[in-house]
Amino acid sequence: MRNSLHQLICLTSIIAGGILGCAPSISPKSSPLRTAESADQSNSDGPVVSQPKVAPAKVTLVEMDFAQFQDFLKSKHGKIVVVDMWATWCPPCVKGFPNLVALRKKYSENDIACVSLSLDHQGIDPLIEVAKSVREFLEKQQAEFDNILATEESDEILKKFGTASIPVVDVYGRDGKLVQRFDDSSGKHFDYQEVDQLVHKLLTLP
Amino acid sequence: MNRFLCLLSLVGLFAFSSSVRSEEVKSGPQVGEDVGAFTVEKCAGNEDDGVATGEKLCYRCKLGNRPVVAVFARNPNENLSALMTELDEVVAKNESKKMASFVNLLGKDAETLKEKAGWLVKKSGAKHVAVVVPEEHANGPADYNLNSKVDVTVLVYNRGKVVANYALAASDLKKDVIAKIKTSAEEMLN
Repeated sequence: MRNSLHQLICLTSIIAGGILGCAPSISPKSSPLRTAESADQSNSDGPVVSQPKVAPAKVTLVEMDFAQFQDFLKSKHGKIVVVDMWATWCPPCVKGFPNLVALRKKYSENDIACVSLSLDHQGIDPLIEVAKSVREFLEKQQAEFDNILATEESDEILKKFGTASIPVVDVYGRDGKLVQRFDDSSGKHFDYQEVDQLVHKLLTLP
Repeated sequence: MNRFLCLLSLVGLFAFSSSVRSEEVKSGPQVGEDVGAFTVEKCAGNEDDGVATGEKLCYRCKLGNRPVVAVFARNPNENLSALMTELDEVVAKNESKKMASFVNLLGKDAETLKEKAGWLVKKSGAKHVAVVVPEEHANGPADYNLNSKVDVTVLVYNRGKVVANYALAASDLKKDVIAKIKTSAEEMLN
């Protein structure tokens, strides 16, 4: 009888423990408030309060062909211009892109213009879809500078720029002339520090 | 009973050896995996791709999201030439769908490989396939993990992801296998 009673107590404890263990835990630190974002995904009835958000990046994306891009470059005369040719499908370009964002933050906009030129368009997907994926990437990167999407297919643009493949970074002087091209044609991947050093050097020139 | 046991043992042995064999022939990124970037020197072939002979570049970066058949081969021979001829045909046929192909020659001596590139293009008559020598030519790009015991690795990839992978001995590269590779190449367009 004593044994049976003991077994019954144990069984009850196990069941009770199981039920408690499966119930949602209530932490004294947990807030009953939901963010606007999470409210859409939850069935909770708590009041909805917007959490302070990081200001959205002022990201723009303009479509241009090669000739229009040349005119655009002319409009930047007087500044040092850094053009990063890239694409979302180019692994080293994606890896290196934050360096352009860092460069933009490091120097005054009055002195240098950072420009991204996307060569994503390959004639596979409609340009509107390409623009969408490029914009998504740029927003994630907070690329708050001139972002251009080439409307000609990447191979055509590469030929016009006289290069075989991205990643490519061109640095133009204040006179609008190309000072140096950084690419992988030497067989080694270039380092963005070299771009930074050149920009710094050009800024110190009279 | 003894016969049954013998038969069972043979079946077991066959299954075991097959599984070991299939493990051994794995080479390069597998189906569903991403294809990484690497630098090569163009040595011969495809005269219309905007890349001059002797130029160094990342073909993976140049071709981007396009459907690609990339070959890594250690022994450029007649079988490889036959594969190139067939790839040339399938690339030309699917030009409007932006299909591309390039053959990477692997080996210790880069100069020898460059010489063989010319021979391969001449022998195959290919006009749309580039032959290149990777910077890491001894065993291919490190992050590709190409099997050093495999003569020919064929990666069929679209939007930077592998859709078919062939790890072959040089002698395996026969008509039926080449036909399978061609089929994989065309299937990735669907």
